[in-house]
Amino acid sequence: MIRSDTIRSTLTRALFIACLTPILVLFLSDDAQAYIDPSSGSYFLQFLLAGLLGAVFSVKMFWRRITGLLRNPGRKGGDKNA
Amino acid sequence: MPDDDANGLFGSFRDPSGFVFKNGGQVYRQINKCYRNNYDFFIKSGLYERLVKDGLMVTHEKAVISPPDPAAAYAIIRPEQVPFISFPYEWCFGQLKDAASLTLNIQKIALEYGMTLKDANAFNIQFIGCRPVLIDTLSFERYRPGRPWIAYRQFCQHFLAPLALMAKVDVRLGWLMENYIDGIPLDLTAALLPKRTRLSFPLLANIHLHARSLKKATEREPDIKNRKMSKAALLGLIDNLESAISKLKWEPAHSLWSDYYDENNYSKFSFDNKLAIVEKFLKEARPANVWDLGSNTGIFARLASNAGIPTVTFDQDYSAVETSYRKARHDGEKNFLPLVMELLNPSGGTGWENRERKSFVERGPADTVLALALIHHLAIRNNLPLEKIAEFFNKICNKLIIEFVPKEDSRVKKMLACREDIFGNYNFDGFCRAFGKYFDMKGSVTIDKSSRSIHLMKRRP
Repeated sequence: MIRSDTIRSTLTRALFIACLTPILVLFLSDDAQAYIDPSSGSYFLQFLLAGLLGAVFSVKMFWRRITGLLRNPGRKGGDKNA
Repeated sequence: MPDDDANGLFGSFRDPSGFVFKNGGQVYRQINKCYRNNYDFFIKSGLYERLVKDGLMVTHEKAVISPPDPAAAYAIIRPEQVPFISFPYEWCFGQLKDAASLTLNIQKIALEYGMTLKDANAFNIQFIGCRPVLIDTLSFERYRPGRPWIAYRQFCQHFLAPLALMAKVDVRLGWLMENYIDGIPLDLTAALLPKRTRLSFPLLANIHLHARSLKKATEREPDIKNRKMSKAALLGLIDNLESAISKLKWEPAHSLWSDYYDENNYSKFSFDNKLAIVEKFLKEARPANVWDLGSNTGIFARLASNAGIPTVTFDQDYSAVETSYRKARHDGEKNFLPLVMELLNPSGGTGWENRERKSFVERGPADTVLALALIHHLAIRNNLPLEKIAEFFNKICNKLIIEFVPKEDSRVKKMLACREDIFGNYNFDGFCRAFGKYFDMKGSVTIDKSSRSIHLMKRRP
């Protein structure tokens, strides 16, 4: 005969798993989509170039904003990504 | 070959986010539960609407049909149907370059909306008419600050490497994409490119240093833990790739084929008469779609596409296809898709089990095929018996508009000038016998002031 505390414990565990599963799915789902291998060598190169490319891009955007303002002094703002 | 299209098209199995399948002749996409958050964000963030509004991506609608894999399914969508699926190794330089620019543009827009491309696969781009569009609704994921671009290597292999090789070495190297389904390896690209390409920073960084970095990583795993990449740096990388792509240029030469119409043996009168005959036969055939084989720059194919018939042209000559594509882009042609294809060795089934990407023949049959000024090249120049040629056309079309070029024609005379005439069966009777095995002749007209004739045939049921 099954004892009532065993049933209660099993139900509690099932409830816990039922609540935890969607939370895990929510947090792990992003990684589940990364189906291609980015390659560590490719990541490494991106980190290596990051400083230079970031700086060049920032200067480029800044320059574009300045020239934009000079061309159209009345207009504010610039590139959304700047 | 078993048809598994109902359970998922064979080329759609790598990404667990979902897959494409066919139902009632229509293409659908199942979105799996594991992709739910990303898909919902893609829609709610406004990214989908923006990409569709800008004409960069196919539209889709929710479909109410039973999913092939109900346990995994979150939703079924019906994307805008692509008239003809083409592959990057069938594109001319301009097509691949436009597809590359489209991918980078989409990545920039995605970042504005807090998402990023999780793949940069050239096979995800298709042409509707001459307009490139992204067809994979599942290519996006939430952007996580600090993370580099996961699809960077893939972009370089699928787009930058073939474009650099086509521009800097030989345009025919675009065909390497058929051998390398995940793009041309960067070490091979670096080895084939001239040394002077190291003087260009975008090519130095994204090809040469990238190839070296990938090689080093196989010898010793680099330390990339706790490293972050700012969004400005990520945008800088995209900007740098854009610069690399935009600087790669290739101009079509005046090849034998791109000048063919100027140098052929028709008079202006005969040429106009040929146009009128083809137009008449097209009206009689009333095609649902047209393939033009050996299309050159597509003058005759445009008789069909300008009448609103979806038309795909195939030619082996990159210059002819490039010229044709540029005209189509300039004129905004909606029913015209020019592709590079060597008819004697057309695209085969590639990838896993030779079934991931369908062969040329498997993507048919076309309703109507145009084969103008082609048969003598196949039969005389390339020793293909007329019976084999007829058998091939029987596989790829329901109706055929074909030009017969007899031995009296000056082009055939030129072909036979330096070789022995071993083509005893190559005459009009032999032509009728070979094609009569599969087709019923519906009309025949001789081109005025020419020995050539054009025939409309219908395949027997």
